[in-house]
Formats: sequence, C-alpha cells, structure tokens
Amino acid sequence: MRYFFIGLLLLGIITEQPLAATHISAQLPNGLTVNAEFRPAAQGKPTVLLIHPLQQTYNFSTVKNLADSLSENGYGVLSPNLSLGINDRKLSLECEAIHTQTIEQDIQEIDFWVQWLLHTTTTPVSAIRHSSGALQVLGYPDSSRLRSLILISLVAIGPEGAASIDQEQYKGALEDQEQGNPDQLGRYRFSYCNSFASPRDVYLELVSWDEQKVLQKLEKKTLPVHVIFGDEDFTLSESWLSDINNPNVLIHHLSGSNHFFSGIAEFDLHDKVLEILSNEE
Amino acid sequence: MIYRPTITQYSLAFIAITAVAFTSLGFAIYREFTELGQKIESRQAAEAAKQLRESLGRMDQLIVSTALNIGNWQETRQQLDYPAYYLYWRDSRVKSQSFFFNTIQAIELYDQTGHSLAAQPLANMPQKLDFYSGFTVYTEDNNHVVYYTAPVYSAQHGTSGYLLMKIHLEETLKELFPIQGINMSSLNFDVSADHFSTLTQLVLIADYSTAISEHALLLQRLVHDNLYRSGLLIVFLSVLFIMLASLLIVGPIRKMARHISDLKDMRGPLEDTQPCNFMLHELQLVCNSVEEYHLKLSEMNANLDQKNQELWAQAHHDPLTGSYNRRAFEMDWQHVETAIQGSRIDVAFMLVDCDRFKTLNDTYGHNIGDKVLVEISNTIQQCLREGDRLYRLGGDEFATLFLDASTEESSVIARRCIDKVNEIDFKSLGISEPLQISIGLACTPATHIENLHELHHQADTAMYHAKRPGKSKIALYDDSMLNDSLVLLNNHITSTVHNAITIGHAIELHFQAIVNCQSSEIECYEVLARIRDEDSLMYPDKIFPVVHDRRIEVEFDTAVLNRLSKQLSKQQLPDNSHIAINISGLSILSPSIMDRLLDLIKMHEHHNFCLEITETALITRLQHASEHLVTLRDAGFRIMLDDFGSGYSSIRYLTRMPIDGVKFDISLIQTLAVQDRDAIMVESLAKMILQAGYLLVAEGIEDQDLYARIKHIGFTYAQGYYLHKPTPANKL
Repeated sequence: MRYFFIGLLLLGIITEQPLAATHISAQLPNGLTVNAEFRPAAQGKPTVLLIHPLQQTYNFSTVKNLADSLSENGYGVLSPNLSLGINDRKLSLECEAIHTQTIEQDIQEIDFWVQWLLHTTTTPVSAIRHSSGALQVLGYPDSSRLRSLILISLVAIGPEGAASIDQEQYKGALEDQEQGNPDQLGRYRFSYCNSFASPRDVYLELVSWDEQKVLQKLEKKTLPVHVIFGDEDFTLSESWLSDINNPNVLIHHLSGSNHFFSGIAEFDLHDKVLEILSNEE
Repeated sequence: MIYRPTITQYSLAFIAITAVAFTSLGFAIYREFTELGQKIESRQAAEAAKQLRESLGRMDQLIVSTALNIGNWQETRQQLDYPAYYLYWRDSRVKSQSFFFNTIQAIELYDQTGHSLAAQPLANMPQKLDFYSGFTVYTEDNNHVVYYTAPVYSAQHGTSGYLLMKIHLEETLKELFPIQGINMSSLNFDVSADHFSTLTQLVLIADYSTAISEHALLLQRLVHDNLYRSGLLIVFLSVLFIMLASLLIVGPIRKMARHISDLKDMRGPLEDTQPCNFMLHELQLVCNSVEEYHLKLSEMNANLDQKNQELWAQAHHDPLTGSYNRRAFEMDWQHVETAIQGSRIDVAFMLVDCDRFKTLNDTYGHNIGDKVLVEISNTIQQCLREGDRLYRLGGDEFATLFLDASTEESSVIARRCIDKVNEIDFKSLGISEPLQISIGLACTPATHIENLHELHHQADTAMYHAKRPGKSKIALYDDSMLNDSLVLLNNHITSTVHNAITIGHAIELHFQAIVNCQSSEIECYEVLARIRDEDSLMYPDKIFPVVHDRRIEVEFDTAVLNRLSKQLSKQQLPDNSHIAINISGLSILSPSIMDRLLDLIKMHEHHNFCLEITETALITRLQHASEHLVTLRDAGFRIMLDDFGSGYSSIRYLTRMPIDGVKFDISLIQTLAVQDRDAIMVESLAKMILQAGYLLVAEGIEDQDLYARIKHIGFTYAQGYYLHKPTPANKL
C-alpha cells in the first residue's frame, strides 16, 4: 500500500506540478516584519495554515515537504515564519538565542496569518502544527475562521519526553519570579536545548503548557482536532496517549513512524494529512 | 753563492700560497654569498612588503566580511530593535558565531544616532561614534588596534544602527595572516589615531625588519660553517703536510744527505755507515741506487788506482827490462837536483852502455838483443845498493844515481857491475862472442851546483873514454876528457859529417900505399876518407866517432864508395892498381853496400879491390857476414881482417872467417919495435898466420928498423908513413 502511494506521488510530481510558492512579507502591528511562504489552492480546494515547530522556519524540511505535498494535491498552503520577537526573521533560532516571545505572542501572530488568509482566500482553513509547536495552534481560540486542527506528535511540557524541562530550573524560575525582575534572562534546559536563552517570564509562560493545560485545551476545543502519532514515537509516555484520548480528538496512529516521521514515514504522514483533509471536504 | 731554499722553506711557501689561494677563494665565495644574501634580502624586503599588503588586505576583507555577517545576522537586528539583552548578545552570542575571530577585542552596537547600546562599552569602545564607516587605527598600550565601523541595515528602516569592532592589528596579522618575510615582533606602524578607508594603506607607514628566510639563514650558516670548517681543514692539512713533509721528505732527505756525505769520505764497503732504511719506497730506491753507485764508484776508483799505478809503472818503467825509464829518470833527476842542491852529500852519476850492442842486435836479431838487455839490466840492478834506481835511458844505455856515495864507493859499484856482467853466460842466448859493458862515472859534491847540472854530460864523456879500445871499461870523469868529448858533442863536426854524406863532394879520398915487402913495390892503395871543411880537412879521429855514435856507418861507406867510383872513373888512380877499402861491420851486412861493391868491381875491372874489415864487425854476426864475404870473394874482392889485435884477436875466429889476409893493428906492430916477450908473441903469431896461408899486412911502419923487422918476420905487405903518407889521388 505504501509503495502504491509512493508510486502515485512520483506520478503526481510528473503529471501535476505544484503551484509556485510566493514569498510573503508583512508587518505585524508591533512593527516587526514577518515572512511567509504561500502556495495558493487549486480551484475549490481549501487552504491549510502550516505552522513550523518551535525555533524553526517554513524551510524546516518536514514543514516544507508537507507544504509541497499538500500543494501538489491542490491545497493552498500558507507557511509563515513566526517572528519569535525578531524582526524579519528568516532563519531558525538557536537554543542560545534570546527567546523573548511568548506562546501567547505566537498565537497572536497565528491570528495575524489567519486573518491574512481570510482576506486573501475564501476557502476554509485548517491549521497544522507539529510537536511542541502544536501548542500555539492548540492555544488559538476556536472560531469560524478555522475548520479543523491537525496536530502532529502532540506533546505537553513536562519532566520527560520531547518537551521536557529541568524541574529544578523551573522551580528556581518560579522562586525568582516571586522576587521580581521578570525580564531576567535565563538559560534553561528545554526540549533538546540545554541552554535555552529566554527571559524568565517567557520561560515560565512556555512551560506552563503542561499536560494538564494541553488536555484542558483539547477538551474545550469545538473544532475537529486530529492528532497524529507514530507508533514508534518513544518520546511519548503511555499515560499521555491514554490521557489524550478525548472524544473531541481523533487520534491517528502511523505504524513504523517516530516522533519526527523521518524517512519514508514522512510519506505516510503526508497520506494521513491528505486523508484527513480529504475527509473534511 | 746562489741561494737555494730548503725543502722546509718550499713547503712553507707552498702552504702559504695554498693558504692565500684558499683565503682569496674563501673571501670571493664569501663576497658572492654576501651579494647573494643582499639580493635575497632585497627580494625578501619586496616580498615582505607584498606579503604585508596582502595580509592587510585579507585582514581588511575579513573585518569587512565579519562586520557584514554580523550586520546581516537576525539576532543583531533583534538587539537593535530590542536591546534588553544586548550584553548577552555582545558578550556571548556574537562570540559564539562562526564568523567571529579571536583577535576581535570587542564589538559594540550603536543605534542610529551613534550611541552605544551598552551603557558602558567595553575595552575603551566609545560611547558615541566618531566615524560611521571605515577603519581607524589607534595606539593603545604600545599596541595598535583597528576600529572598524559599519552600518547595520534593515529592509524596512535602512540603517538601523552601527557596528563597531575593535581588532588587535599585530596580533591578527600574526595569528591569522602571518607574514613569513617579516619579523613580526619588529612590526610597527607610525600611527597615533588615523583614519583609513582600507587597511592596505598601513603599508605606507609600516616599519619592520625583514625576516631572513630559513633557507637563506641555512645557506648563510652553511657557508659560514663550511668556510670555518675549510679553514680548520686547511690548518689541519697544513700541519699534517708539514709533519708528513718533515717525516717523509725533509728528514729522509737530510738523512740521505748525511748518508751521501758519509759515503763521500768512505772508500770500499759500507760497513761503518748507518743502514739505508727509509719509509718512502722512492727514497729507499734512491738510497739503494746511491749505495750501489758508491760501491761501483769505489770499485771503479780501485780499478783506476790500479790502472794509475799500472800506468805510472808503465810510464816510469821500461817494459823490457823492468827498470825505470827515461821519463822516470828525468823526473827523479829534476827532483834530486832540486832536493840536494847545496847539500853536503856527494852525488855520482853512473852511465852504462853495452859495447857493440847494435852490432850484436843486427847480428843476432832484436829478440836476442832484448834478452841481453834484460840480463844486463837485472845484473846491474843486483849490483846496486838498496834504494838505488836503475834507469834505461834508451837502447843499451842505462844510468843510475848514487846519492851520498863517494867516488870510491861509486867506482866499486861500477866495477862490480862490470864484473857481474862479464860473468853472464850469454852462450845460453846463442851468443858465443864475449859481451861487455862500459861505464862512465861522474861524481861531485852537491855543493857544486854547476857540476851537478853537468853530471850527466860528464858521465857521457867518461863513457866515451871508457869505450875506447884498451881502456878498462870504467872511466871516471875528469876535465881532461872534455876536449875529446868535444868531438862527439861538436855540432859543427856532426853537421859537417852529415852534409858530406848527404852531398858527397865534401868527402875527399886520400890514398896510402901498401908496399909489397918482397919487392918493396907499391902494390895497393888504401883508401882513407877525409872531409873537406872549408879550408881544412877533417880526419878520421873526428869523423868516425860521429859516424859510430850516430850509427851512420852504412851511409858513410856508401858515400865513400860513390866518391871512389867517381875518382876511378876519372882514372885518377894508376891502372891495375889494387884498391883497399875500409868497410864497417854494419856495411858488410847491408845489401845496398853489397850491391855497390859488386857494381864497383864490375865498373872498374882494370882495378883490383880489397876490403878491410875489422874483426869486431865480423865476430858479432859471423855467419851472416861470412856469407856476404864469400860472395864478395867470389866476385873478385880480396878480404882482409883489419886491426887484428885491437880486440879479441881470437885465432879460433880467424880460422872460421872467409878472409884472405890479416892486417895487424898498429898496437901489435909497435910491440915489434922492442925485443920482449910481447914481440916474440906477435912474431910467433905472425908466422903462425903466415904459415896458415894468410896474407899478412903490417900497418904503422914509421921507420926503417920496423920495416926491416917485419920483412924479416915475413909480412907480406907493409904500410906506414915511412913508406908512404896518405895522398890525394891527383898527387900519387
């Protein structure tokens, strides 16, 4: 079956060329210039807002490949670069770089792009986000502007897993917060970063997205929420998979895939996303 | 004297020349390398300037590109937009970027107004920018720092701020753009606070020392080391050369010189010299050759000495008799004259001559004559005192000198010589006739220098007297002999005789009649030779000593025969007269005389001829003479034995001679003048000869009594002044 889709994909590449991506540069209300890549949808096809993982850009391979795949299948794709507090950001951000932007500010930028889509297109928008980046999408309030959410390898900030943190640092940050100086720059262990540079409050706001908060967000979602997991994603705990089992959430398991859907699993991911989107049409 | 340097001096000169040559070569090489080094330094200086310019250019590019990267970096823009965490960015973030290089001392960001984002910029970075672009070079703490200012652009706002970088100049060049051609520690820039558009402009104010390249240093060190080593090597080789030259050449040559010097003073083998032993093969060969040469030279010298002795002996000895020769005599005589002149010793000169030796030589041959001389020489030598030398002066003439010998001693020795020679048995040599020697002796004290010089002449004069018939064979010179000797020694007489023989017409013939005692008639004329000497006549007493002394009997007789033949041809003598001719002993043996006599008798047939020959001449070579006499008798000559009684007067010989008659010597005839035993003997002898059938002639008849006497005895013919005086033919 897999090879059949691979064959179809290759045939599609040959027979149906994707529409060319257009670079979009826009200025946020706070004055920062943000960039995005936009692939218009085919006639009658919906558009997808594709958000990159934390610190990455739309050039992140998983994002870009998925964007291309969706575009090839006629879907419109807008893949913006979240500014992360940096004017005209075009590159990914290193762990040691100063992370000044909170998730709430990310959500505001997502809203900016949703608005941009609504002004640009008339088609419904589905938002797709991967791993911890999915938190910003999950935090985006439900509205008629979005038709569904597709969350890939959804994780919550916690002591273990893909979005793990150092509890001692976390406690220290909490204690510091009580003493004032909220803008104090700290360096924390977060996810795969050992020295995640960030103002303390920004850090605390990020790590507040723990399992409980994520599950609460999921429960409150009225939009269809699709969560795609790889059955070989060992960053996820068994409890997390059971806890996330919510009637509002449609969980999709892809056999043979890890947390990043690397390798040929990426094609299964694309198939799954296309399947979800197709079912929603 | 020509100066000749020693080998040591030559060696030192060679070393000096070699050292000078090497030093010159070394200096030339050193100068070449120095010039090469200067060229290399010049090129290195140019290369260094080029490298400095390139390095500064690259540093310029690095700084500009770094500033550009920083300016384009999104986190830089983040700080310009939100500089809350600028210090983290300045002190940490920017330094972790790949475009950051270590020699950047500080980086500061400035806002659009040129104010620093930091409240307190680091490292003397200005709070407010003075320049908004380009390079500014300062001197800080003896170091040079480069401040580079570049604007930071944003797409929306254009220049959103400025970047200021502070870079250590020398350290950056040293670490990032090292310049091999420059000694980096010497690099300095004459600058205080100047602004430049590019860093390459610093080349113009750069001060530095050129670093000598490793190859050049290596080459320079190599040249110095090699020159130093070569110098040491030359010194070592020179010392080694001197030692080797001294050991192998100078020492051996001096040894060789000493060896040769030793050989020079040595004769014979090399027993006393040091053995020839050298380290060098060639010198050993030379030494061996010298020794061989010395040995051969010694042998040659020995041979030469022997030859010299032989030559001296040959030169000073008579090869026949072994006695000293005339050369030795002359040398000794000259030496004696010089040595004893004026001394008180007596000197005697003895001259010995063998009687009738020439006749004997002609009769028996030279071989026998030589043997006779050897016998006589040996005999005389035995009679002399020890140390006396016997000299053979020539022919049969011997001489000796008696030094420190009185007249009596000399006479005794002379007598002994006579007696000993008389005792010699010459019959063993085939000589039946008696042989005698005559000795002339002259003595004088050495103080009489004039006599010393005349001693030889005096002895010769005495010899002449000793040879006279009837003498004792020994004559001691006295001055009375001088007149007689003058005949022999008178050159005028001698030349006159020689001229007469040669020219012939000076010879005059006188004829003395020989009377027949029975009839008292003249029956024969004896031819008597005279020689015309200008107005006077020279008689036989002067002629014949010269003739006999000069041995010219044959020539004289030939001249007489020629003269007689001419006179006979002119019929100056009576026809049918007998002519008696005196012929010497030597002439009768001469074939030419024989021919002349035979021609004479043929040409003058109307005359009868008689030959008168002395017994001495016949006795010495009797056999040969007899053959000629027989021939002459057969031809018609009558042969008469002349002067019988003056010599041996041997009856035995008389019977063996082919003669017709005998002519008694005047000494025998005169004995008949008195009646004594001698007269009886002579008379008896005469009668015996007559009875034997010989004709008998008496000469010297000077008075009537004597003539009567001989007639009474029975002599066949008589001759003398009483009967007829010699007269030229035209007066007969």
